[in-house]
Amino acid sequence: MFDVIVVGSGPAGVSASFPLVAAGLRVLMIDGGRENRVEPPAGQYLVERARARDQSRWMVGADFHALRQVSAVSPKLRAPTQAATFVDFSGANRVSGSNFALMGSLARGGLSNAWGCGVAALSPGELQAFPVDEGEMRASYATVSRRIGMSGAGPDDMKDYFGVDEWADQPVPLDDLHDGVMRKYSKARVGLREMGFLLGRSRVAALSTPRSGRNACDLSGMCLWGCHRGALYSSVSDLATLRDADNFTYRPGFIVDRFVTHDGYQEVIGHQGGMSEAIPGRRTVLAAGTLATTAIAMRSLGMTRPLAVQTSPTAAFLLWLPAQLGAGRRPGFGLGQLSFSLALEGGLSAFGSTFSSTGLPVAEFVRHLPLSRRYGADVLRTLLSSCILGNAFFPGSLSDNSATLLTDGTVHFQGGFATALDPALNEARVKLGKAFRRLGAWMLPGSFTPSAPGADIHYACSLPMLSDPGPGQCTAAGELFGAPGIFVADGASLSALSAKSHTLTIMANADRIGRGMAARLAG
Amino acid sequence: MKILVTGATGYIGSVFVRRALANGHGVVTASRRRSPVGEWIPYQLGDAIALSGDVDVIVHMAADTTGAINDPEAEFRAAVALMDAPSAADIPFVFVSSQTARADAPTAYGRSKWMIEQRVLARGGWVVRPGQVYGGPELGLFGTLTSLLRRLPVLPALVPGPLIQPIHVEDCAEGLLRVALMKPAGLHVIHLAAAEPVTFTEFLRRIASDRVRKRVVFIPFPTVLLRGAIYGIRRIGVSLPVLDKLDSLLDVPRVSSGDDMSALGLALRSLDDGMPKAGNGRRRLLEEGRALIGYVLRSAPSGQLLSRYVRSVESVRQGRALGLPRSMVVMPALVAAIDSPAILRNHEELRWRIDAATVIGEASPAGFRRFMRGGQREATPTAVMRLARAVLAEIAWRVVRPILAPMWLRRIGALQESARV
Repeated sequence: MFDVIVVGSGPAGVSASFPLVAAGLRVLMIDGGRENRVEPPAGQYLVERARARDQSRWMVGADFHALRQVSAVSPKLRAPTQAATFVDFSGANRVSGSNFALMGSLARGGLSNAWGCGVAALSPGELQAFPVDEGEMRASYATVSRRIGMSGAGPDDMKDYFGVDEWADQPVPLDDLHDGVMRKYSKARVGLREMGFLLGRSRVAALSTPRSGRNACDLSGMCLWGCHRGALYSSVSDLATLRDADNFTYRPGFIVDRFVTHDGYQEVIGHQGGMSEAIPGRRTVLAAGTLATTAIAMRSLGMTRPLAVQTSPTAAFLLWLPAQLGAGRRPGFGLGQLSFSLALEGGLSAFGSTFSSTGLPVAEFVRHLPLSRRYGADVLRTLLSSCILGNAFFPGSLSDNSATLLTDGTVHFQGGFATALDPALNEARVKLGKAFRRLGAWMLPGSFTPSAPGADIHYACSLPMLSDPGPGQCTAAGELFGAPGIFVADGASLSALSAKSHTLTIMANADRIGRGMAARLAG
Repeated sequence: MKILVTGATGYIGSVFVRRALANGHGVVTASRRRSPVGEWIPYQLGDAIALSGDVDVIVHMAADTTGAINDPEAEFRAAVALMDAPSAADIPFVFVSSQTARADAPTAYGRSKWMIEQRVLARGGWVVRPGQVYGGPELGLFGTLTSLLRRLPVLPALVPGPLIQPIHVEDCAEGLLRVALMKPAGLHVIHLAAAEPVTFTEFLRRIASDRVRKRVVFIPFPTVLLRGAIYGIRRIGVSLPVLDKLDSLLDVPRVSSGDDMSALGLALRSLDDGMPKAGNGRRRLLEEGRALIGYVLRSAPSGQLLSRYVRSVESVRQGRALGLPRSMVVMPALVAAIDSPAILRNHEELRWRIDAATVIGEASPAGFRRFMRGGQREATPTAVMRLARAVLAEIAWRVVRPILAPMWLRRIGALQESARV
């Protein structure tokens, strides 16, 4: 019998596994095992686009993946190189949704194959909602951050907000557009800080210096399509490290449906290639991704009462820099370059980043213009090289989603927003418009677009850790109430969801939970 | 959905299987020979069959057309053995019959089909009666007629000409697939055929001119003499399935298929579109790609882009051309007359095609130059002038669009309901 079964090979699964493996425990990791078949393109985006006759291979896909997914909520879902990251998730995990963007992964490495790489640590104040020791959490942040590698450190106004600079390398260079915005900010920052707007470099899990088999970012602009250099963190690289250990076993292609707890051990029940199977283990870590983990827990414990699920409501907008009209395209980083935090009424705050439009297909924009296609393309051909994209995330408290166990074992997610979201969105739109205008960037009218519930993919807090948990909650150690030996290590067990990027917190928490389990099992 | 198909290697069957797989369905073929695609279980007409538990629907179209002797009784027993197999008892059953099926059909073929139909209906199944199937692979009666036309310079034009209601084999397969998926309640006998009949001679003429591409002389020939000939051949002891089919052809009753077609949301391609060798109207799709990609890219698309466009419509949608006006093919700028956000909201298929043209067109060096200026700088005055020109053009189209669009959209609107998979 394995000491610990870890369900899922995403950031949470690998982070929980490291301390368990280090303690000499026998660990089995199972996951959906899907692998992307379309290789991410090598080379520079601008060069490949200008020359390669077969660019359709990774932009559209030989099976026309981009067209099959034409109405999906994010360009990531259209990238042929990411097809296996998202495929079949809801069917295999028996989850459904209404008014809710339902995304998850059966792929090796889970959603970290396609994430935005934003990293941030929760402040001591934010951690107060968690029943955890702040020092322990800080140590786990450090362990995880050092392992995955990150960049963006610098003495700017966002340093404290991110709280990761002690582990982060210097940033990858800004492109000209963002550089101009940042320069203007350094002059206008006093006034902007007064209105609650802070701007700085994005802290991202992208390498600016090479490390252990991964190359540094070369500004290829290929981020959306998958970094063939490995500069962007994906837990696939951690999984490879784990597999070098003798006491770690990896079994891809096993889909978990539920668990059963027994005296002193549990069985994880699922199927592989149509065959049902129960795998026994002394402990189990659920790290299948918030939605799948929630479904497994609800199904196993027969939780008929709906659970609240948080997401970070989000909006996107387009900023035009008139001074840059006619600018040529330059190689650059494709994920967040600058990040902001914005204070809102009622003690709320929003967080967001800005991006270059260069590595994205123009088709992503032209579809949404209120113009006919040909003239819309004319406009963007001229305008887009002087534009940057922005997004804004809002705290999970402004979401209002629920998960319900249906009689057939499906778990249904109903999406929605709190009534306080609309005023917050309006306030953010107006304030961001003002702030960026001072930085020479005009928010294009009508471009500020809120997304559907769940489209942020920041699912969390469905089985929150509390100091005094009840049904549908976890202990501070991550152990699920009513299911001894079952630990929840992904977003599901977060106690609160702020506007900040939450992946690093999930990983740190998983590390902390893994350490606690290791101490008790080994001791 | 998982579909068990008998007769999967036949004319309709082979097209049906490919289509079902392309639409993401599971297919189990039951046939004597191993089918090149899908799962296979060996099956001989007349055998009982043991099904695994996950088959959702059975589509039965096996008919013994290869043997020298056509045995309607055996066919009946085979169908019954299949639908009464214990493992098939609760599985919806779709039977591919014939337009000649009648209790008092003049041929044993028509009568046996009718008998099977009764059994199928009694168990709550569905009966599909295709019209004259044509196009695609040269198999079945269509194959026989095609090879006949290839060999003979002269053919009889039957007088009085029997009327047939043609259907392209791809449309027939799509119709069958829809029946299998929708299992329409209250519609258990379904005619898959063009609403408007053509004479059999006209049908042959089309095969000759569009498919075989050959001039064939038709000499008027009394239908009654053909009947006599068939009777004579039978009398000397030769019994070929094709004779039965020919005989049945002379006896096909006209059916009103229009309502069935609309219940299934199926619009059939015309003989014009269906008869050429690329029977899916590929030429028209190419023209459509030329118009739409040319419209978006502002330059004539390469052959590679065109072929990608055609394949995308074939593999993701139903593979039918929208029927853009000729003028748009000649002058792609005119597509602007039917392209506005308001119009695309109501014309989902048109929207998909324009999106496809955009996405496919962009993913090329030409697309990079068109959408991103090849990454090059642009002087500010040039940029301002270009923006102004685009806005003026947009305004101009908004003025003329209400006059031009309705006329052109009507043609497209009729087709687009059926163009989606």
